[in-house]
Amino acid sequence: MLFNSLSFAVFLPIVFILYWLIGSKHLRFQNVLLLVASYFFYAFWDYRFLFLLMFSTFLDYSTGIKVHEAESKALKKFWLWLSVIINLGFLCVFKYYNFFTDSFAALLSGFGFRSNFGVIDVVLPVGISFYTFHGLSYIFDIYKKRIEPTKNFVDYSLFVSFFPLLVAGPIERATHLLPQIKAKREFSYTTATDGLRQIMWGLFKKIVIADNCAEYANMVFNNYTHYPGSVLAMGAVFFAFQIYCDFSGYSDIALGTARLFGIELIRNFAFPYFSRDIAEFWRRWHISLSSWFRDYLYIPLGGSKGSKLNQVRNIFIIFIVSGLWHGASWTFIAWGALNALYFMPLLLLKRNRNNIETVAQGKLLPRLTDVLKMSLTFTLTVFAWIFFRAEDIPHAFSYISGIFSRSILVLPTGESFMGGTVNVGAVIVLVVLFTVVEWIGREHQFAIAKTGLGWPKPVRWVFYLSVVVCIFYFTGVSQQFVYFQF
Amino acid sequence: MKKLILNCLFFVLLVVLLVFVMNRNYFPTKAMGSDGYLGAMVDKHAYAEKLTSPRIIFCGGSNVAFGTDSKSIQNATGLPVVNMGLNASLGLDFMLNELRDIARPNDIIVISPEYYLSVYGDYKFKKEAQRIYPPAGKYFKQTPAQFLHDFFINDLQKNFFITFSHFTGHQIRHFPTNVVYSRGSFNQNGDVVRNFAPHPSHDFLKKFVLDYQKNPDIPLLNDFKSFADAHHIRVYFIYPSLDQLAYNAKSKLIASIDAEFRKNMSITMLNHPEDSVLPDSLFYDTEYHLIPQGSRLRGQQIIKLLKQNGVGK
Repeated sequence: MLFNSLSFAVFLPIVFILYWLIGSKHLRFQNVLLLVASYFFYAFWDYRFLFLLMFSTFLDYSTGIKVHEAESKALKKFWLWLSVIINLGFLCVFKYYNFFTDSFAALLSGFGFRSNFGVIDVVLPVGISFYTFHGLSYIFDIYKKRIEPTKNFVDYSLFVSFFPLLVAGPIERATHLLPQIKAKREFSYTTATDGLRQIMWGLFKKIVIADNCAEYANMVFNNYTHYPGSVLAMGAVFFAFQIYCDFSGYSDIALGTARLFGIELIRNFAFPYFSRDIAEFWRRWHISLSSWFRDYLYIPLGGSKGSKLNQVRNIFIIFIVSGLWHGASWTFIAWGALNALYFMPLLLLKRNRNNIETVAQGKLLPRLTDVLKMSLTFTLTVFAWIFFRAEDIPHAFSYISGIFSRSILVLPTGESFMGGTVNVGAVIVLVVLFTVVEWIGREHQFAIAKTGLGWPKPVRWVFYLSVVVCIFYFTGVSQQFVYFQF
Repeated sequence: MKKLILNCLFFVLLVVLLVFVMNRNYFPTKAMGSDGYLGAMVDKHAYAEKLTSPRIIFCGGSNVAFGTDSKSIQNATGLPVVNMGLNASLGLDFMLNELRDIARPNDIIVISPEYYLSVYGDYKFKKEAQRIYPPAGKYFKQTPAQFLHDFFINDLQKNFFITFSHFTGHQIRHFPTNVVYSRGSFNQNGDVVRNFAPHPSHDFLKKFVLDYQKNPDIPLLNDFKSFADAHHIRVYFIYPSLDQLAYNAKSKLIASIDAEFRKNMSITMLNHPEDSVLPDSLFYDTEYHLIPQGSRLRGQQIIKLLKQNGVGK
């Protein structure tokens, strides 16, 4: 079930009303209802993979208890590794098997050997990367004694499967979400309306900005040989907005939906395109994944401690693994490696924590130096997105060489962008307006979190109506959420 | 909780009202598009209505629109001819429902669908046909999801601009009338007759896709035959015009399609696939679209087939 579908528009109010009207006094009922709703939400896509989700849930629930109860360290390690191997095993089979076998076969053929590995023709279960990481963090936290395992299977299942975060995150931590699941939840009008506003903004980002940018990005990336460098550069910028608004829009809808049920999820995006360096970008982009890798991979590897060589190694590992997490392709690995390269100067000069605060905090406009830094960071990010979006490495290099050709000086014309549902000029205006709104709201949870709160009710409602009509009017060709494939 | 639900309901009501007002202001009469290709549906229906039965009615996708020489057939048979062929994307179900609506006793219907013509076609085209010719709404079904999508998105997108133009005095750009895919390219009988020049390249041959599937059209065609029999209407089937290279590439599959039709379809078939194959030079921009010279040649073939089956004088 997609967040931007009619079925979800019917599903959500039903669950919401049942949850608060019938179950408001019974926590157990609320949790069971949310779990059933979550399984229905998942099965709506493909019920067969529900069993995989349930198995993964049961595995981590039981190994969590085993890890906690094991008396010797060796036994604890055994249960931990059993869970890790099975979890990652599923992930490898469904997501990486073909990639690794193909790459290995290509390597062997480079040495003159022939190999014939079987190909697994199976659909990637939606959300497997996300719920596998939920389960793993739970086991790691128990092993590290940060939490005790829950004995309530429903609570744990809900932690893994809570429908707003099930298919594309944010990747939650048991330390953050489980206590909320166990605690009594009271209805709050302010929280619920705040959630609705966040859902509305998420839909705007996804439907108005991401889907329309996607049409042009797809047009350019799929036919890149027909376009001059200037149009290719524009195509990459369109993709940068597509992926940001697609994924952060999804996250906004997820966070807003969770709020309707009185649950706060981890923030996943914090206006990353206003970052002044790449380190800041990674503190603001897909925060739940970045922090997951930081806590469970980077720090155990030694993090920023140890020799420079170790630090460099750790940065490359974390970025490459992060790339690989996104998909089984060399393009994602290249994207990760490129970001690691961007990070290097900051690491070596110890300037990776220079920009912690929000840019131009408390001010309307940034300083010129901040503008230049943001522009440079954005340009580097857009360049890296080319690898992320490309079909394969040769495609990425051809695209880049197309940009850095003499035709970069050719002015793009309207004819270059014929065929989109919404006029390209209108899309550019929308992107600019959207960026302005994001800039104004950059110090809040989401861009319009505080917009209109002090206005008279009729004016505020006119604003909400305008956003909704805008969503309808600028609806482009509906696109699958990009992160569903991960 | 109740306050939130009431506020949400009120907000939804406001949205529906607002969209309703915007949609109803100018929709559908002033919406642009009636000069486009699908606009010919209005003229075809008006002409079919004007004729007295028995009439010869041609039905199918654009192969029929581009490949029928109605005037020659009319002269040769002495019967009035109307060419209802328009666009394969309308789907066979739509086309046959359209025929059910216009056919009268003693009419002769010649159906010539493209190979594996989609049963339900593309909703977007059907909706556009309804917008231009409102009675076309009877020829297809709309799901609740499509209804909502139309109401909140499609209609709004069309009407907002028109409403905006009305208030700002901005001139709405009219559909170009001098292009092949326009209403002005059809003659009175419903054939596309514009002289296509320059001749486009024949890249379309590389794009011809025809893969085996269980023929989805036969049950619908058989149902229509039952309807026709019950209403004393004669129905014939002829294969669509097809470019020689496309035929050569798919001749085995086309032979199996033919065998399936002959085995399972109750409508009388007047020819074989190879009879409708014509040289590459007679095609315009797809493997189905004949140029006027090609449609004259095909017209003669059709006259012969009809006369062999006792149609006309």
